[in-house]
Amino acid sequence: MNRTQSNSQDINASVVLELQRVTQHPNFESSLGIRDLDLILKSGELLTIQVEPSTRTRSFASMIQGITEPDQGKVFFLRQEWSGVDYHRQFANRGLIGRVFEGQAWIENLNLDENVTLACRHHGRSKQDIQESTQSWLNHLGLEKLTTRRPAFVAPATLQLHQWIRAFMACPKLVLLERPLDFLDSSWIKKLLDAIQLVMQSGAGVLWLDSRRDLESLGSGFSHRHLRANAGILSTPSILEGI
Amino acid sequence: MQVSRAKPNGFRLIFWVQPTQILDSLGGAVVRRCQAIISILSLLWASFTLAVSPRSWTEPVRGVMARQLLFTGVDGTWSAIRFGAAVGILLIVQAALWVDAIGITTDLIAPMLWRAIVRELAPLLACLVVIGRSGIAISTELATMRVDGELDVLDAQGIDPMTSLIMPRITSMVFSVFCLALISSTSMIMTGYVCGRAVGVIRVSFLSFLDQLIGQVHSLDLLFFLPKTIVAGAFAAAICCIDGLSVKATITDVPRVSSRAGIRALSAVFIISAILSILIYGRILIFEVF
Repeated sequence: MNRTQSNSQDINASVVLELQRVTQHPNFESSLGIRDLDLILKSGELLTIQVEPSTRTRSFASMIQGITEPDQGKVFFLRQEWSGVDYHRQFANRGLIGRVFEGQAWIENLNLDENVTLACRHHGRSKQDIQESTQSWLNHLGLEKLTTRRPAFVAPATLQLHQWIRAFMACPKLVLLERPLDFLDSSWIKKLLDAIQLVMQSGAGVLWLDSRRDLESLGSGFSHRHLRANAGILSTPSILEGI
Repeated sequence: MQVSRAKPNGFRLIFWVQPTQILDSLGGAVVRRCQAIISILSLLWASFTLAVSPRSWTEPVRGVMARQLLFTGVDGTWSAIRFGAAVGILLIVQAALWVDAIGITTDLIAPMLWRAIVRELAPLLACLVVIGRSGIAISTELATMRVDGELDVLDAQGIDPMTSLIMPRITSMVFSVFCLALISSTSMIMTGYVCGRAVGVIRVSFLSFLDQLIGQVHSLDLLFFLPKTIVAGAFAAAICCIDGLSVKATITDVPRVSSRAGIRALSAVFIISAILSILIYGRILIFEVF
């Protein structure tokens, strides 16, 4: 990435996500731990975080979304601290975050179509808008239509692609990608990068957590920073190394 | 030495440790009960405030409400009719015994039927149907969703699980209990008449019987019927939801939690029914309390 180009973008871009001196002890042995982490993610920026294959990222992503509180430090989304806003605002803000989950990602008693459009319908987007947005992402991924079967009866690869659509169609300000290429072959990498490019152009910041060895090189075409968790712990020094 | 040391220990055990432990466990039980009641009331208040707010009723929430009403209210109709019919027969058989024993007439059977059905049995029966059909199912569903991390999935998409899962379920259970109580009371009266006519306890036409029943309608009936259906239904629903959400992160807890929720909800319904009767009648059995 061109440093000068990056600096000029930094000045114009708004801060989407900010972590101030955040420490979070892992819930489980395999969860990603955070130690004194300072982090800023701006709109139109991609931040990739390399974790070990055995490290679970779910609790870290949930903390970024304000679902769980960190043990220490503060998490800001769109310059608002999660703990400083009322519940209604918290849920409205989470509606501005698209997420590809690691592990369980679906409401099992709804079919995939209902699951994918659930958040948009709940947040009051019109049917036509949802349909257009869904169709646009289906076309982008080369899929015909959303599956109307329940998640338990759908192949993991199809589920993962539906997760992409759900995350990207929400007009997000922040996209959290937890191992988005799991269950998919390498032919899908380009489509994912194109999708990331599209949401970044519309002003979203993207945080991609993965254990792929080629993660750093995948993001090289964007305004991109790369961090690496050491021994399951992510901390500020590793950011400096990344920069 | 050991024996001489044992005596004061035993003495202390009887006169100090045991009373303290008993008080401790009693106090703990009272505190836990109070906490449970407070959490139920909090959940009901939160559900009420969400239910009266128009912005809570988004399209998916309306969908959950409709599905729950269909499952709890509409699908439970036949159960309510069946149980109502069975209880109607039991009531009329009892009435027949009294007719034989002391020679009472239909004039006295009609008010007895009306009061027993509308004030006591129909609300209780509707609660039993709703807990059996839906309460335990709701508890199991919520527990499974919590264990599987589905609540986090909702939360992460900016969908409040309280608004989208709990409030519509509690609202639909309350509404279903009220409607099923009406249905089961109608079933009891109809079956009671048919059965009573067949065994010769009731000798008047259906219209006369209905006229006698309508003559028994009292403002107190509404005072019984509304709280007994709404309050008992709301408590049962809240208990099922709280128990379902209280599950720890293992799937093996789910059956235990579900059966506990069913028992606790049933207990609550009987206790609330008794308390409301005491409050409304102002007496326990023959003893005036107010």
